[in-house]
Amino acid sequence: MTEPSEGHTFKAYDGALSDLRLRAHAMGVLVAVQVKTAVRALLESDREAAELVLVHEQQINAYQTEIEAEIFSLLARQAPVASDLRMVLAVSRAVTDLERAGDEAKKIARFGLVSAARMTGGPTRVMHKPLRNMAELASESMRVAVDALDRGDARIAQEVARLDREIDQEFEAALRQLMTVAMERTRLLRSMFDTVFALKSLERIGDHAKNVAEHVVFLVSGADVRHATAPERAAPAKGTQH
Amino acid sequence: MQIESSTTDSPALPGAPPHAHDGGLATPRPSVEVMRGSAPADKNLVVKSRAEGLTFYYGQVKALNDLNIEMREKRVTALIGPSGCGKTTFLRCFNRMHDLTPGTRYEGRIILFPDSIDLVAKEVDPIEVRMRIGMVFQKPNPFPKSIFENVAYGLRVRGLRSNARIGEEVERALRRAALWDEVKDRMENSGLSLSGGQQQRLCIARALATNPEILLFDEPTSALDPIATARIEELIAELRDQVTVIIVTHNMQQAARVSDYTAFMYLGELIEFDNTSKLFTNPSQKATEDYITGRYG
Amino acid sequence: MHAVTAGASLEQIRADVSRRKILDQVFVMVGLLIMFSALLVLVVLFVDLVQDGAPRLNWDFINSFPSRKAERAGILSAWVGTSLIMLTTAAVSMPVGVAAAIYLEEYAPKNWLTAIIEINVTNLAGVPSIIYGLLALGLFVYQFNLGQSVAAAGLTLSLLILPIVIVATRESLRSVPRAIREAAYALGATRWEVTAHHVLPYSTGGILTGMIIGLSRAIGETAPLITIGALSFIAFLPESPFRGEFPFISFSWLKESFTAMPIQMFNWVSRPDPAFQVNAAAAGAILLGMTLLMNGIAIYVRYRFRKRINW
Repeated sequence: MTEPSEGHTFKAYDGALSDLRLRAHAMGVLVAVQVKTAVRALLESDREAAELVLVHEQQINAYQTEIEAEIFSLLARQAPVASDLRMVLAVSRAVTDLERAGDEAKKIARFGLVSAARMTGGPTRVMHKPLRNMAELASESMRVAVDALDRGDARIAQEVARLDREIDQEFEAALRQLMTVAMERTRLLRSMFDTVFALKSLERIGDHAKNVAEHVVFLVSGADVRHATAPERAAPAKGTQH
Repeated sequence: MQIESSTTDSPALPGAPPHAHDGGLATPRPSVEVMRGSAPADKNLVVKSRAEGLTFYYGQVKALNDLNIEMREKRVTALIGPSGCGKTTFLRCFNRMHDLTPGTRYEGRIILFPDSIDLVAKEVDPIEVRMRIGMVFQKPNPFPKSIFENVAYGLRVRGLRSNARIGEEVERALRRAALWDEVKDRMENSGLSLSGGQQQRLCIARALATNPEILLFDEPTSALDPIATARIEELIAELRDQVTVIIVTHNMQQAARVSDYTAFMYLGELIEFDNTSKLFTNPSQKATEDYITGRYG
Repeated sequence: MHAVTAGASLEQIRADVSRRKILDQVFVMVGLLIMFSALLVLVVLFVDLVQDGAPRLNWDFINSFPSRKAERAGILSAWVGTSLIMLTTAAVSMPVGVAAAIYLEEYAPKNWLTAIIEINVTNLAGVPSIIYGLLALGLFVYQFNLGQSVAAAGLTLSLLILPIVIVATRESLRSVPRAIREAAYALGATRWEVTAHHVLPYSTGGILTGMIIGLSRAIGETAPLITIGALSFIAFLPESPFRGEFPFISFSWLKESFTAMPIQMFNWVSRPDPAFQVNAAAAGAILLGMTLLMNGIAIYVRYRFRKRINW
């Protein structure tokens, strides 16, 4: 009886699994970049940046299609169990969230295109800081979540939860600020609506990052924390004892 | 969410299970440690048999080391593990088949409930054990007699004389083994005239005819094609709730499909024992994880 | 001659195969040649016997007692004697041989004592038959006071073929697969039940075959019979085993003096009168016929049993 080896006895299986993780990671990193580019397009009415985001959005969709197809084939042919099965399911769920986050970034970029076309100057100056902050947070949050997925580290997932709370706070603060502005300058209503939607999208992106983090917890421990309460999430989940 | 792992890798189950108040002859509830791993939906926590510190020797070689495991009544328990891990050796302790080989020695106990008899004790007659515990072997081994006589043999050995009664029991056993419809018109034909899958079902009928308390399966489908295998797995699933089943298999998917509880053994020791769904989605021991995901080199 | 390795052309492969097959064919020819030679010898022997004995191969010959006159001498007492002796031999060696084989195969523990017994059983097969005759003379004829009787002859020959029966029975028992025994044990059968209900019945073919082969050896044994005192001039038959009145079976024939076919042949061959040689040849042909018949029955029995039980 030989010692347990580093990878699966069937090497192609190993290759398929790590390929899956790599692709999911690449997709997630792309989404994180998209968020920042989209917000820049919005704030600076940058037509080129906006179009870049639209082009990369197709790449993100392609990622989703490829990864889902790969997962389908893997499940049918290899019948993964235990940690392999959890990983495959976690990636499948995470990819859905990543794709939706990518969609949100696309929406933000579209606002940028519109404001560039109208040459209205985009969101009012005072909203630039909150928008930039939220974009930073959302992008960071996404990057951390996707890293956690790649490494199978549920502790990092805690970090994402924290970032998401910050995003929510920023969102509330930004909305309040916007209402103040709206009451003072009703002429800028149209761009304010755009701003609100942009803020909402960013908040949504933060939520998707948090979902990805929940999938990471599933990957590690098999526990489904998507609808769990805060205390249940707080305790670190134990997985396979080493 | 706190995820507790339930492993039975401690040397002995802590404390004896509490006996019922009627003098200790009632079937005990399993000890607390093991209960925690049970699926909440499983209402049947009655134990049929428990191995306590079971150690087994082939001459000087220690083949099993200090096994502690409980088999639930009327549930299917699977034993998995790499070749040479001792799962078949363990299985054969239950019906004292090792007694046929000279130089073997048992230590520890296997207790059968509700009588609390130690199956491996020297004082207990192996014939008596085999009258209560049946076995189906890896390669179908029907006797070169008629189909009827094959199933009837166990009954005749027990002294059943009435041909009418024997006929009834044979039909009942063949129905339970899902073979009756296929052979009812040719009961006088030789058992060897059947296909491989049918022969194995005949062997199952033969074992069922005597209403065993525990039915042992030693890799029952490893010599059969996929369709015959599926039929036998279906049969085992149907036997659940009627008989306590212990099945040894080297096909993990089969263990996953067919059993309620799975025990993973390695080098003669019990590494992990748990509900099958838990063991296959989130095993507690790395060794188990490595084995079932195929990471053994 | 070059080796044909990977990448060889079809012609090369064909040439290589034909070359190698030559050896195959040569071996087949040699084998056939040897086999036919052996058969030829047997056939020639048989034909020669039949030719020599042809004048006397008739019903009279079979139905007459020996006589000083060659043309009236027959083998009646001889073949009756042989048949009765074979009956006794079978009746004794079968139970004893089979029981001994069952003990050695199923019950005996694997220790040095059993090993010694096993070795001795095989050795017994090689003991010259005349030694058995001497043993029988001392033991059966004198010690047990059986006299020079059919019983003594039967017992002697039983001893002679016992090793054959034991070994053949053991081989048969061994050929019953372990899986069948395990299945029977797993159903709660005792060792005796496993042996009696399964192992023995399935071995019957082999046991019978061994028995018949033993008998066909015994039928031709002359030396032990002479030693214990077979007579060659018996003009009477032992009392029939079957009586008209109760108890219908009689065993008095066991105590009677006897003669046997080989004895009779030996006696006739030693006489100077050429007419007796003819008698001897005829008797020989009949004896050979009996032996071939018995072997034929053995083959048929084995064939029938093999159809039923195919491990």
